[in-house]
Amino acid sequence: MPHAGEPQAWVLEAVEAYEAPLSRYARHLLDDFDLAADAVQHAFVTLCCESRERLEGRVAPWLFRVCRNRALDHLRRAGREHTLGDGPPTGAHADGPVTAVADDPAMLAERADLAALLRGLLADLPAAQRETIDLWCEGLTYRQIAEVTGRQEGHVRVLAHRGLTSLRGHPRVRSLVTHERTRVADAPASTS
Amino acid sequence: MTDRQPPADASLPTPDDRWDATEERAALLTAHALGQLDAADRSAVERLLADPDARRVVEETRVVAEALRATRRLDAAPPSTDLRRAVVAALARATGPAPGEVADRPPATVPGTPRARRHLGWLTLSGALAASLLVGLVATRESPSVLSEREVALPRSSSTGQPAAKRIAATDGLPALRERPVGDISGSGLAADANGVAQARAGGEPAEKAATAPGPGRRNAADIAKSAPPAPAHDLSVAMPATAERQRGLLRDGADADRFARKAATAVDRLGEPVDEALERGVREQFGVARPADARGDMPSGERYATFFENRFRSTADAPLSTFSIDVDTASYALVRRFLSAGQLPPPDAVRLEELLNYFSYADPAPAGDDPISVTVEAATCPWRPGHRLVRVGLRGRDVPRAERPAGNLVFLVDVSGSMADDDKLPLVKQGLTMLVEELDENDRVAIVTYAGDAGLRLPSTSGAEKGAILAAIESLTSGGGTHGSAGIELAYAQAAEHFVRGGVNRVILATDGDLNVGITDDRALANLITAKAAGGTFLTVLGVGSGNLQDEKLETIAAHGNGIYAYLDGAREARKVLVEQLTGSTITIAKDVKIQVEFNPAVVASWRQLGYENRLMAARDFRDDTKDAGDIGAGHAVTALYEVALVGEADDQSGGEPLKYAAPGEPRREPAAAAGTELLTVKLRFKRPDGDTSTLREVPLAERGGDFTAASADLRFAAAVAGFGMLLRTSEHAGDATWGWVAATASKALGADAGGWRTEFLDLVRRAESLAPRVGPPGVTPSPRPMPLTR
Repeated sequence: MPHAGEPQAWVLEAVEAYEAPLSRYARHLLDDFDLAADAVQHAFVTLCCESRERLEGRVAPWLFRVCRNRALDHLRRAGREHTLGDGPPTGAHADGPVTAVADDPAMLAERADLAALLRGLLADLPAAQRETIDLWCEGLTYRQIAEVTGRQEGHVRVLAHRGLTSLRGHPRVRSLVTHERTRVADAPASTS
Repeated sequence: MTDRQPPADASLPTPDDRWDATEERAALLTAHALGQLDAADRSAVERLLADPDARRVVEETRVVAEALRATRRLDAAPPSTDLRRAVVAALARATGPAPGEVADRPPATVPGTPRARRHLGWLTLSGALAASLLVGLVATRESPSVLSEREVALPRSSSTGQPAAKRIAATDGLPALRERPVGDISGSGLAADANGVAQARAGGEPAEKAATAPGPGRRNAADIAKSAPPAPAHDLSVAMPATAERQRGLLRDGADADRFARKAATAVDRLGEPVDEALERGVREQFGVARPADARGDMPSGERYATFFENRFRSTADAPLSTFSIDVDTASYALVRRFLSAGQLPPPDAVRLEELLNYFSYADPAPAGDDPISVTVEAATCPWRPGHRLVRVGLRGRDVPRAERPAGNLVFLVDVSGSMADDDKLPLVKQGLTMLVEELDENDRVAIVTYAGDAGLRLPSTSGAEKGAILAAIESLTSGGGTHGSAGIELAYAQAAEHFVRGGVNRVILATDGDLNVGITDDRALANLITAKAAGGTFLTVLGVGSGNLQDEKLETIAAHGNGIYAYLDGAREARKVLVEQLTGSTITIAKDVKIQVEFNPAVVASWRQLGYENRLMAARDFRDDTKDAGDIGAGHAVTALYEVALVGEADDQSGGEPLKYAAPGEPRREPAAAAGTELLTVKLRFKRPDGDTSTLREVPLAERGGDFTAASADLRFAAAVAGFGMLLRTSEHAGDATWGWVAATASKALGADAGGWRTEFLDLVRRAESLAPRVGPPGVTPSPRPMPLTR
C-alpha cells in the first residue's frame, strides 16, 4: 500500500474510484451537467490539499460532502436551495407514491426493465429521499450518508425507508418485483 | 428541476423531518433490507420478521434496492479529461518541493515515449516549487576578473562498446537499466563513487576508465547509482541494497515520483489523449489562472506549448554532474518576439531559456585545428544574486566557408492546407525558399513535396542551377485544395534518398503551421521514421510559421528526432536568418550527438542550477553511451549554457537537504585533491563526427578566481541579460534581483559587434515586455478552498 512517501498517488486513485459515483450524485442534485462537473472537480481539487492521514478511511464521505457543499452553493445562487431541503418534493406531487411519470403509460411502455423504470421514478422522489438513496446506491452506509448530508442517522434511515416504500409501492414496480420475486425465489408471489 | 415553488428555508423543520414510532419500525425493516442495520437494532428486527408480511416487504425492498443500484449503469459517463487535468494541476500546486529530487533523469519516464521535452514536467515537478531562498549571501569577491578560458584536446577516447547503431529513443534507457547485472551496483566501488566526488578528486575522467574496463562491470557505478533514482520502481529492488541511507531516501522519493508520474500518465493516457498534451494544458490552465491579470492574452486557439518546470538548485554532494544534450533551436525566441510584437506577453511555457540564449551569436573563438567545436567557459558574480556565481559555457561550431560547403540535397516538404493561406504562413515560406534558392548552385539539388492540401511532388529533385524552374515551382505553391495528405513525408524522404549525396547535406525541410498530416498519423510511427531516416543520413529541419495552430512542442520533438533544428519564422527577416544566413549552419552538420557534462567540484561548489535545457537533460550515464542520441551542431552554430552556482561556505542550502559537506555521515569522506581545490567545474564535451559512430571527448576545467560581473566578457553579460529576460517572462522564482531595467541596461552595455542588429532588436523586445508586464510582484498563490469540516 502507498504510504506517506507517495503523497500524491492516492488522490489519483480516488479520482479513478469516485469520479463516477460523485458525478452521478452531483448530476442528480443539480440536474445540470456543467455545474455537476464543477462540483465534482471542486471536490477532487480540494482533496489535493488534504492530508491523507486525516482522511484515512473516510475519503468517500468526505468527497461527497465537499461535492455536496459545492452543489448547494450552486443551488443557492440559482435560488433553488430548497430543492435540497427536507421539505416537499421537487416534483409536482407533494408526498406519497410517485405518480406523475409513472402514470404515463406511453413512457412506461418504453421502460424495458425494472432498473430503467426505477431510474425515472427516482427522479421524482422528494430530493432528500432521492439523495439518500443515491448515496446508498453509491455504497455509503447510513452513518456516512448522515455525515455527508448533515442529518441525523435516524433521519437518514427514515428518508431511505420513505423513498424505498414509495418506489416499491408503485404499481408498475410491484408487478415487476413480483415477477422478479417469482423468478428469483422460485416461489409463488403474492400480488397484494 | 425548476423553481416551481418559492424558496423554502431548509433549516426549518418540516413535516418531513418528523416520524412516528410506526414509521421508525418500518424504517428498520428497510435498513435491514439495505444492509444498514445497527447491531443494537438487530433484535428488534428479528421480532418484526416474525411477521410474514414484514419478510415479504424486506424481500421486495431488496429487489428494488438491487435494481436501484443497477440504475447507476444507466448513468455511466466517460471519465473526464478536464477533471484529470485539473487534479493533476492542483497536485502540482499542492505538492511543493519534495525531498531528494532525483538526479540525472533517464530520458524515458513514460516507457515508450521519445525523449526530449515530454518528461521533464513531471520529473521536476516536485522541485519546481522549491523557491530559491537566497538571502544574506556574502558578496565580497572583489578580486580582479580572471576568466579561465582554456581548451584541452584529449585523444579520441575509445569507444564505449558496440558500434553505435542509432537506437530509437522510445526504446532507450529502460532496458539497459533492467539488464544491468546486480554486481555492478552492489560492488564496493559504489559507495565510494556514489556521489561522484571521487571523480572530481581524480580530476580526469574516471568514468572513462570504468567505461573502458572489460567485462560487464564496464558501466560506471557512480552513474548507475545516480541514475537509479529516476528508474522505474521495478529497478529499486536491484538498486536498493547497495546504497547508503541517504541515497535510499533519494531512491524512494525518485521511485515515488516516478510511480506517481506514471500513474498520472495512465490516468490521462487511457482517455486516448497524449499524456503530455493533457498534462500540459492541465497545468497551464491552473497556473495560468493563478497569475495576476496581465497582458498575457488568450492563447490563440490550437496553439500548444508543453509545460515544463525550471531546473532547480541541486546539491553538488548529491548531484555533481549536469548532463544535457545541446539544443540549437531558436524557435522560442521568435515566438516570444511574435507575442511581444503583438502586444502580448508570451505564455510562460513558450519561453525556453536555452532557445533565447542560442538565438544570438557570441564571440567565442572558433575551434583550432581539426576540431569541429570549441569550448569556452567563464564565470563571474551572478548579477541577480550577488552571492552566487554565473557560469557560461559556450560551444562554437567550426565555420564552413561558402566555397567549401558540401553539396546540398534539399527536399522541401510544405504544408499547403487551407490554414496556410495567411500572409505569415505559406507566403512567408515561399519568400524564405526563394531567398534560399538564390544561394544554391549547380552542386545542390532541390525538390518540393506538398502535403495536407493539394498534395504531391511539385518539383522533382532539380539542380540548383536551374533556378528558374525551382522559383516557378515555389511560386506555384498555393494553399487549399483537397486534403489527402497521404505519403507526404515518405515521398519527401524518397526524393532525398534518390539523390542522396554521400558526404553532402541531405535534408528534408518541413514547413508547417502545425498540421502534421504528413501521411503518417501515428506519432510514434512518425518519430520512428524520422529517427530511422536521420540514422541513414537524411536529417530533418522543421520550420514553424503562423499563429493559432502552432504545435510548438510537437514540431520541436519531431525535429529532435530528425537530428534537426526547429525554427519559427515570424517574418521575412527571420526567414532570411534561418534559411539563408544559417544555411551553412543548419544544413551542414559538423558534429552530431553533442553532449555536455559539467562536473562540479564539491570542494568549491555547494549547489548549482542550470538555466534552461530542461527538456534536454540526460542521464549521466548516457554521456558516454554512444548509442544515446543527442543534438547536432552545424557549421558556425553557437551553443550557450548558463549555470548559477552557490559556493561552499556561503551559508545557503539551495538543495534543501542537509548541510553540504563533501560527504554526508555514513559516506566515505573524500579528500579533495590539490588540483580540485580551486576548480569550480570541468566541462566535458562529447561529440561524433557527422559520419562517425564513436564519440570524441573534450574537457575544459574552469578555475574559481572570483571575477565581478561588470568585468566579465560582453558575451557573458549579454547572455545573463537574455536569461534574466527569459526568467522575468516566465515569472521565474529564480529571477532574484533581476528587473526589466537591469536587463535593458545590461544588454545595452553588452551589444558587442552585433552584426545583423539582433542584440539591438533584443533591447526593443525588453522594452516591450516591460511595458506589458504587470507591475505587481510574482504571482500570488490563490488560497486553496477549504471544505466545510466534517462532524463526526
